[in-house]
Amino acid sequence: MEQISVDEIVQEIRAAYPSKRLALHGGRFRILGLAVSYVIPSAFALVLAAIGWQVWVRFKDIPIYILPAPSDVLSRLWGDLGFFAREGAVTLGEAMAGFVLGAGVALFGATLMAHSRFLERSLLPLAVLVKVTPIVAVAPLLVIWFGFGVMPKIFIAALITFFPSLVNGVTGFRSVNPGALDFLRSLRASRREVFLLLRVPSAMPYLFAAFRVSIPLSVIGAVVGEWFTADRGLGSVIIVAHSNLDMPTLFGAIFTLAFIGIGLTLLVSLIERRVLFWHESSFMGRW
Amino acid sequence: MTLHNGSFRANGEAHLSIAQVSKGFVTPQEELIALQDITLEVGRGEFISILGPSGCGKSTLLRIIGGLLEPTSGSVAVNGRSPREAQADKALGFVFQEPSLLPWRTVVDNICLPLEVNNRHHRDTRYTTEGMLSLVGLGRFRNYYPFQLSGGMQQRVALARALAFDPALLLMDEPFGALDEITRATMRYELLRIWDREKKTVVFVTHSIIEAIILSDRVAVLSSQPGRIKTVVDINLPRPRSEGLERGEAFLDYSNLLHSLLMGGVKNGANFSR
Repeated sequence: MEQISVDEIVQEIRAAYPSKRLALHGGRFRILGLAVSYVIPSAFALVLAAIGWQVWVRFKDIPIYILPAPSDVLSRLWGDLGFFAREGAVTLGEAMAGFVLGAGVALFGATLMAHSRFLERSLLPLAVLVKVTPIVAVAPLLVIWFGFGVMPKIFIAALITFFPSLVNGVTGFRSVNPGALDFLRSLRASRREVFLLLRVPSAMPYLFAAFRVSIPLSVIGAVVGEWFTADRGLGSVIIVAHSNLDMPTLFGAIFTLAFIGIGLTLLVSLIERRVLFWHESSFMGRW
Repeated sequence: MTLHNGSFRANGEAHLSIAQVSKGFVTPQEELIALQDITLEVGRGEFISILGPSGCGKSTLLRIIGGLLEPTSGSVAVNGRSPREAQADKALGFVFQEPSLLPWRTVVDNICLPLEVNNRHHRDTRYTTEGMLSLVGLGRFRNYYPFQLSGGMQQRVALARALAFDPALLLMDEPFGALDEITRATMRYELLRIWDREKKTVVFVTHSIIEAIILSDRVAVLSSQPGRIKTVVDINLPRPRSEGLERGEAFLDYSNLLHSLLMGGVKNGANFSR
């Protein structure tokens, strides 16, 4: 385009799109600013709630075996950090293994279902059945089948994470730009090429939406599994502490689980920001 | 200025022939005839526009030519072969109204996309990505993502993507339809310049009379419901055409003619001389 100068093109871009988008990749300070502007308000609310709790417990003189003050819980946590970290790691490991298994099977199923209405119609009711059955009802059965080790916990976590990934996967694989699909078809792209070049990347926003839901669910699955075979992990810590009326330990386990949940959610968000830099959802500041 | 039906005046064989193509769609309400008995021959290197009101089936016709839709009856031959064979030969380049780029790919990776598809059929070509980038004037923006580009620039990327594998036939479906008037005006001459250099056969679907006159050797005017070729108008304006053409007297004559054809003022197949 010899007759149009580079300056004119730059003008064209500037006019068409605000600098915000152009600064997308260089925006390290923006990320930092976001962190500060999101972390400070939420930390403020958290500290305020903890102070309220503390004052309430001390003022009302609530016995420690009913409700411990945050200071009691924190000192229990701090005093035995290695214990909580160890048990937390067990639960986290089970949850993640379950998530990988559940999401993996779901994505495989979604791939088949996205390509065949027949498979979708035959498999989806089955998946809905799995979804609507309360997982706690199935858990004892899984313990009988898979014993007292980590396997039943992983399976429960997998079952609970399966459905969101399946449904969003099917929707995502089908939600492709029709023009891009036509273009690939006009090149006689194979199904495999269309899948890899177009469907998989197009599904990413849907998959991340599913992962945001199902990753915390996987932790729930692992804890529920541990309740049935008190052995290791935070679920078993909760059961044992509960039967001993050891509220600081019970709350310590709860805090650890909350911490794991926050960490995982944050991690998913960070990966999502990286992977989905091109998607509309990334253009607004959010975690 | 002459009106006639179907045949092209260029010597040499037809690059694209459309013979008695009809297309019906079955909707829950009725059976809709989108196209009826379309016959048209397009010569090699010719620039032909298909002009018609919205909903007259011109996009449907383009999709049939490109092998994305099967006609209910009739046939299409690209270089004597079926559209689907032409697809496999990578003989068709599509540009749509929306740029339809892959938003997760940079400009240069979007242009490379057709070269990654069906790799074994990819022939050696003088077309390099760099050449494509400079052809559409986006050399500096090779590593930009589509969302960082204006609509006009995105459409240039789409054009480069369609040209990247050197198809002989370019199928354009209102490619400037989503652009603002100022960008459209530039893009028309931009396209002419590229067409002049690349010597492609172009089938250009539009509802803009101005666009059709500036760009085309011939304009096929479609009536709507059912879509039929009303007439084909030769545009005998000298080439290369340049900015200011649309203010000349000859241009206005064509514009009036096409306008009255679209409004139904001129009888089918009538002769019209200036």
